[in-house]
Amino acid sequence: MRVDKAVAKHVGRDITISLFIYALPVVSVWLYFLVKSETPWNNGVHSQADAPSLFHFVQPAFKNLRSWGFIVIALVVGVCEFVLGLYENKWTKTERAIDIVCFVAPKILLVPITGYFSLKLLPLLLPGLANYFSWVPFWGGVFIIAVADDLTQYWYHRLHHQVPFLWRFHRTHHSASYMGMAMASRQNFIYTVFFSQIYLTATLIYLGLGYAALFVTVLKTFITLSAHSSIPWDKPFYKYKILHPIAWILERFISTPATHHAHHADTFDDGVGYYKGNFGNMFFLWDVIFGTGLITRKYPSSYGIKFYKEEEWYAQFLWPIFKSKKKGSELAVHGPEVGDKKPIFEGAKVTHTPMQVTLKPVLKS
Amino acid sequence: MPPANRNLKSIDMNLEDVQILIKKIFVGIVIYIVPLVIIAGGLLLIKLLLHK
Repeated sequence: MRVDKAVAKHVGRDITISLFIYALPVVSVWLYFLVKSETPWNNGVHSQADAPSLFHFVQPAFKNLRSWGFIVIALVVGVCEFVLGLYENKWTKTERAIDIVCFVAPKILLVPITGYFSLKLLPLLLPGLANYFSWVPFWGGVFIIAVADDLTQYWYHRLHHQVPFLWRFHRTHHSASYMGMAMASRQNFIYTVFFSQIYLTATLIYLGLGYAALFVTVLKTFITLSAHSSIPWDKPFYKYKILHPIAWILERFISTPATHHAHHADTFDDGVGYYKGNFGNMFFLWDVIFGTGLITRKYPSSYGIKFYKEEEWYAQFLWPIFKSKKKGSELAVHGPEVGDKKPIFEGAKVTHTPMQVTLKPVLKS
Repeated sequence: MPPANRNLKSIDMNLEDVQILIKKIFVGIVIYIVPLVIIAGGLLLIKLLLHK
């Protein structure tokens, strides 16, 4: 199956826009030094020096969160969701196996891979460049990492939805008929291991932006975990009129549970679900800029994929290395590349023109 | 000789799968390289432009 012509056109245009967005933080760093007439690389200044004192204070907590804290938070929230009956009768033996394997295996297998990349491969590929850009000011590093990491993940994610041959690597993340903490880590392992933004951020850390990366990645993990979880922290912002201005900004800037749950819906028919858009992870802003988003303040009526055949856990975790035995499955030998026959933009409520997604939120009850 | 464990899963890849995997890795590398070149190239350029 080939990429739809309309999609290819939009992708081409949006990639061109992205190149400028990637350059934006670098240009702002250049303007900053130009105005201040500073050349910190001559003085051996390190970006840690100008980090806010509050960051120095929270740094140990951030380090712990990144190494083990988020795993504990995900586990505790996940167990609470289970005890409170979120998964009801949907957590079958297969779903349980997928969720547990996807949660545990990458934490064991991914660390040595990224460790090898950072500690062995990068010094080999970029010899003598460790901390080469450590003179970048803290705020500049934060700006660079936030854009680089999240825009790269946006593209990685979007292409796995819009390029047919890539879809099956991402399908596992959408196959469950429930939403909760388990969804955040439920991925095909090959999708996870080739996450481009992991290696991009690792390279920028190697080049000297590690201090800023710690701040951004912790913030990003909070936002993405909460967007997948069953905790609807955004609801008060929609309920109370006084908070509406904040809601207006939040839902356009970051992924809220409502907009990300809409991405996991199995249908457009409820006026809330938007599974062929809302690709943003930390920032929803990319969807606003590229016209791939639908802002909603309601939660979808159902989740998952219509053509799901509850494929075996090993096929969902390691396709195409292992195949499903379910007849007609996308993950079976000679299975269809994409089970959903709907055109890529069908059901979309927006004309895919940049910046035109900022429509009135869908408030259908 | 008894048959092998029937529950044991065996690798089930063909040439088409290998091609898909290679294409997927290629896409991932491009998505990694392009922003890296823009950012690292841009920061290098700052050093050159503001060189005293």
